Amino acid sequence: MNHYKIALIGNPNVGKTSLFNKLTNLRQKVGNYPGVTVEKREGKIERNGNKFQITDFPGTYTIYPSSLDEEIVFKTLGDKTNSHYPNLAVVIGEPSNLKRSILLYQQVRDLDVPAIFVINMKDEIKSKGLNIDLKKLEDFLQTKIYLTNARTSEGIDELVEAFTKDATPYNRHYEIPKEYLSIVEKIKNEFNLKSDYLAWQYLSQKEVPFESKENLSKLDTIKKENSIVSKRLQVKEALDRNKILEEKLNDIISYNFDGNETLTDKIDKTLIHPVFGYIIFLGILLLIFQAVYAWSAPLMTMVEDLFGWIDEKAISLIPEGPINEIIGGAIIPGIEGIAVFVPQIAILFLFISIMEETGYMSRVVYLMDRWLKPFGLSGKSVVPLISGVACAVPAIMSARNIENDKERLLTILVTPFMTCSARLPIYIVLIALVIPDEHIFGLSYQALALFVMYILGVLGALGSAILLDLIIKAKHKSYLILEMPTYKLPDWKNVGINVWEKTLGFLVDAGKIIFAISIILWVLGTFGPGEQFRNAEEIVTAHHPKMNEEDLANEIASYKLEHSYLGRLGSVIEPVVEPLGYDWKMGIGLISSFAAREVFVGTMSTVYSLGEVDVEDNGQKDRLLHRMKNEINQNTGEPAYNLATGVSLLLFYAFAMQCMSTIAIVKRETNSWKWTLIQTGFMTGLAYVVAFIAYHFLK
Amino acid sequence: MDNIWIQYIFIAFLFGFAVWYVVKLIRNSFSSKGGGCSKGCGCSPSKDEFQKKG
Repeated sequence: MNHYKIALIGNPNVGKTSLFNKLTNLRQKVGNYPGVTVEKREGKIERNGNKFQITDFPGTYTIYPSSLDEEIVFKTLGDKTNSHYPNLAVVIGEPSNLKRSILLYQQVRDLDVPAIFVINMKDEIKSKGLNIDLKKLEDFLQTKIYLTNARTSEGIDELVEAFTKDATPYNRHYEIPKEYLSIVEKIKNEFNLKSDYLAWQYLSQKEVPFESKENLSKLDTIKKENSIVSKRLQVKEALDRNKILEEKLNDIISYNFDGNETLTDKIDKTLIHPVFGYIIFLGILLLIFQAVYAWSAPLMTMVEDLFGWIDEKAISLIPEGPINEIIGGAIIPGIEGIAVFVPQIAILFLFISIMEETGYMSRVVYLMDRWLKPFGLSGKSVVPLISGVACAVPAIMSARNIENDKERLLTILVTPFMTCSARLPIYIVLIALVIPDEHIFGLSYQALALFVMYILGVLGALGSAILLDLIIKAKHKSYLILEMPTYKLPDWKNVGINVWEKTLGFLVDAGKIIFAISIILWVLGTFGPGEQFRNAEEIVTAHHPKMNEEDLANEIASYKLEHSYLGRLGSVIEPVVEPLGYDWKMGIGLISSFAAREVFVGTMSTVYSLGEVDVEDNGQKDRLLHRMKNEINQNTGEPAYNLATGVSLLLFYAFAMQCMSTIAIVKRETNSWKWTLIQTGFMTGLAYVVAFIAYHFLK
Repeated sequence: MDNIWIQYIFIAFLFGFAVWYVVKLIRNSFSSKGGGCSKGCGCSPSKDEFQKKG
């Protein structure tokens, strides 16, 4: 059995990934969005006794990279010793932009890589009024041309058969400019290269990633001696090639343009209109926001009910004891804490996939880029930022579509500032505690305070973006060169696969981390050192001999928590939170809500001996508020929750990274604890400083 | 041995495993050469592997 390595190479939006899916039956995200292929994708197939290892390379316009993803193409094709160097490169183009694809094809072949040319979306040749003289084009490209339609599988079998055929002999297209011939010769001799064009690449590429440090330093010296500026050589090559292509293709490709606007042109007149474009986008955002909030609510309730039922069953089946408690108090709630986000994630990615599949996402990026650029962000950051108002977890995942490394990192780092739904219960309780229930011009002070908290989230995100923009260095300059693909009906299979992959990835990867943290927090909150923890029941009962059974149980739970390891930790960190106006009880709230912000309300109710509190239940909420209002801070002797501490807590939660799920997903998406910890430290540090200033200003 | 102590030992193992898992994740991340997203959105392990092989 023969093994072949096949490389799929092409510009973005030519249907390369769709073709890859058809060829391999591997399912992968497909979209009309530049740079959608950001990871290596590989598939293996067997046909007629041959094995094919097919690699889907990142979309690129030339072999000169403008992003790190694109570097992979030259790194692989320029180095015959690379383990991914293909037996055959399949360069894919589509009818609308053949010139650009041909330029890439010629570069690949000039590197001496065996290659064939494919025109995908063959149905668009006719629909766009194109006449292609295939015979002439084949002669010009010195290869047989394959016509495919990845959506309908047309031409796929013929293409697979071509994988085993030898590529036709090829004469180099690009003539090295005369003034560089002697340097190219020198490079060839110095680095033992056989190809003139590869030697030219050594001069014109900014980096030759597969060469040794010693050779790179040698190359640098040669470049300096001959005053070579790589970028200039790249521009020269692009101009030369385009000039020739312009002349040659005039004779090969003709357009029967009837003067009528295409459907895409007509739709674009509205969707990227300077006024209506934004209004429609805002409407779509509202729809998405509403869907993530409202559509997910019954599904989330179902997940909660399911886990409630599992919890109940598990507790009733397992004999009473610590295992029963950890399963009911940590393991099942831990899994639920992840699973409950699944409906939101699935709905959000459903919308994002549809926007990508139809081609609308590119229009959104175009509309928003000018507004986000001054903050170091990209037009593509708009989706994660807006999604972050519902939940930072799916929002951060949606930042995958940003291909510029710096802009994507910035987006991931600032998205958690957006006011997510988990902050809402805390805001509701704290605002009710410290903001008077009065009105001004018919507007409630409390509603205004809530609105201000949302605005603070936006300001926090944009302000941090400006700051981080100064710190994080970009390896590549960012330009928004955007291709507006034609509008298409979504391929529902691709949409479904995309939603499934994203949701499952979240559930498994983030789930493992939050699961572990849940167990740690439960153990620290359930066990404690010393006599006080061990004899909690006797001590509390002795202090409250007349208390009813329910209140006594809550009081014992509160006492035990105070003397648990988590409680001790609260006391240990008290000196740290004291400057913010908090006592140890709030300290415990801060520690326990590190897992998830909404835990703060639950912890406060435990600390204040109230059992479980549902903030949507007015009676229960009032009970908690009453208790909190009467609480005295043991350090200051003043009410624990006054305007100063309340605002301080509000600001702390507005800026602090108090969400284990977000930390887990940032780690997963950045693949870096460094950035995850920097983000957590930055947000918590900022929260601390702002809360400190607010407390001392208001007290 | 008392049944309750077996349960406590099990929980101790579970807790130890959870701590070990989190510590391992942090340690691996700091010791890995991949700089995460400072290296771009293709900074998934698969891509790192891809580049190293190259």
